[in-house]
Amino acid sequence: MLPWVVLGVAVSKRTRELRASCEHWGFPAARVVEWSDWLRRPETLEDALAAPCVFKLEPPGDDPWVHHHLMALGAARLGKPAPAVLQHGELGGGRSWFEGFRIVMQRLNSLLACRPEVLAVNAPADIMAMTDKLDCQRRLQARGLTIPHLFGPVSSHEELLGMMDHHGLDRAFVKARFGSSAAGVVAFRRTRRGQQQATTTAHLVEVAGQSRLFNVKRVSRYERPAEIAKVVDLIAEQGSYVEAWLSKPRAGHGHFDLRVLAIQGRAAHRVARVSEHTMTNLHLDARRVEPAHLLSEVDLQQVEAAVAQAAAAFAGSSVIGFAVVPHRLGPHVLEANAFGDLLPGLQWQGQDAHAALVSAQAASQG
Amino acid sequence: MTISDHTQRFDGKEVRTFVRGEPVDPSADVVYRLSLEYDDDLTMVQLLDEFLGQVDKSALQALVIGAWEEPQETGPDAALDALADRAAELPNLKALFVGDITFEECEISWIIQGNYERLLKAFPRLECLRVRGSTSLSWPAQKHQGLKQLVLESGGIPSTVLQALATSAYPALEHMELWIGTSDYGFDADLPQVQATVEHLRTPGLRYLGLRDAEIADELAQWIAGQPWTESLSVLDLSLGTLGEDGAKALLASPHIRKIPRVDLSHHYIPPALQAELSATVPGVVLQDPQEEDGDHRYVAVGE
Repeated sequence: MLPWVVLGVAVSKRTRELRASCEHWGFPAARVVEWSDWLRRPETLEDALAAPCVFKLEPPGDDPWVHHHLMALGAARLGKPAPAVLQHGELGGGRSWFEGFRIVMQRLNSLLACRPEVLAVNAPADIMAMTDKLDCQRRLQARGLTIPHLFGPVSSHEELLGMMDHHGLDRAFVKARFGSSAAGVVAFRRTRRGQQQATTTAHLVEVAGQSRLFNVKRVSRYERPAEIAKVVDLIAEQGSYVEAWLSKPRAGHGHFDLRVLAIQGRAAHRVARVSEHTMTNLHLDARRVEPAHLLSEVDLQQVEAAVAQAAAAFAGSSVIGFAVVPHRLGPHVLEANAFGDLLPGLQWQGQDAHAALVSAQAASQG
Repeated sequence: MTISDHTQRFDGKEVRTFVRGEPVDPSADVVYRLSLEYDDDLTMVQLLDEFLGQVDKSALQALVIGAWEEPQETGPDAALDALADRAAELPNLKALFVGDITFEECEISWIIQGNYERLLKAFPRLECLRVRGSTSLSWPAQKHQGLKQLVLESGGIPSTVLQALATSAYPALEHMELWIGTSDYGFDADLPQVQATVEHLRTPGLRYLGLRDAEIADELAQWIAGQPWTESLSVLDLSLGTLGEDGAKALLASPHIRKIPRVDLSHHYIPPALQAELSATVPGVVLQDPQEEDGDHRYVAVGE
């Protein structure tokens, strides 16, 4: 059996779990190359991939050096000034960060092209496509999947209001375009009498007369139009888009959506996230429920079919996390996450997500 | 705090949400809540018709109306009129809640309310009416023989509504609950106007008086502490407001307040020593959810 090589963060939970699964399935111990080592010395990964192996890319975690490096790389490519160093939890980087990420994914792609004997779990091109959330949604839509209506990119609060006027909307989601977490999602609503409200985990801080945004693990609500304008402008500055507000199905007094993992193109691990507070997708207070308790067999089959169809849009990827909302008009795909396999403790057919992936790889190697 | 949960019990019954296409439980201890989702493509009147088509209308005792279509833009008038039109088919409808809407569906101060004149005339035997939201609320000045419970929840009750109440007559009233709110969210009256309304509406049978969520809680408490008629109340509810030292001292000194079985002051700004004195002197006092001033600012529990 081929050994596993992981580009990631050795101390992260996802890497530890993957290593344990490799051990459990009798693979040689997975070798971890640190993101920061790779960016400093590309040969670390070149060496690790010299022999045939299964290769998995994990996200770079919250290593500030790595993120700043990616931003600086991207800014240079885009002809922008060198970025300031972000503080812990600060939202920023956006377009520059993604450009840097794209550059290193291209490097990785070139390396893998010279190593045909290395099996990549998820192809760098797919990972890149899923990390640009607007592009990702457009791709899913082009493949015939139902997604919440996209109103397109937005560059300021003023433009958002104009867009909502134009479409006759009083609710919308503004989403940061680049990244993979809920960071930078704003649930916005207003009345035609001029009242506004923004709900988000982005926390506005004024530092030395300058407005900055930090991602926090609680929801902030903004009511003052001037503050809302700052929040939306700061998120929009980094690249963002507007998406329709989609009602989620009820579960008792709450509402829910689903997280479904596609492994090798088929719907596998799935869990319903029930929340009494579904104004956002943030699930800070969500409770896990077995989907079969909430959905009929027919509804579940529709979800599985949608997930398989969505996974086919990223044919170079063996493991993708999808957020899906069952809806009277059919399942809507909210998000595809190239790193969506961190679902601790969740079992499907007797295996957790990492174990299922590792055993699927073993099976596909014959 | 804001209103984050749907009402679980109403009129002594368990509240269930009506789901289209699913059977309705006819038990007398269940009340249904009709509510639209943000992107539903039907109206509250259609949902109401569908619901009434499924139940024994002559036996229906209670109903909860949740979010209608765009409650932040339009009132529930179409649904209120539809109910009024069908009053003859609903001879036993005794309890109605219009606006069981959480802040996620629509902030209380954003809810546009309606005109209750036709409804109240059409249902002379209605006993319990609860209304959430007071923006654009049009309240009729009229007599209603049956009304025992009146609850008006809002982030700020408008003076027009208080005026209408002060010229109405509800001789059967047992439970009067007015959320006073703040001037930021529509309260544009003053203490004498609230006093006049309460004095006018109170009946010998009044058992529950709630003047809740009030930014003028101290002034209200100072006035109410001097009212001998409060001795016949079972509950005095001054909760959710900004009650502090001044109001608490007046309540403490009152010979009447200590005789009321339950005096709910929850969500208050009363200093701890005074809380202890109140507990010792007023056996029915409830002092949950103590608040701390933010600078020198106090907030009511339900605003926005």
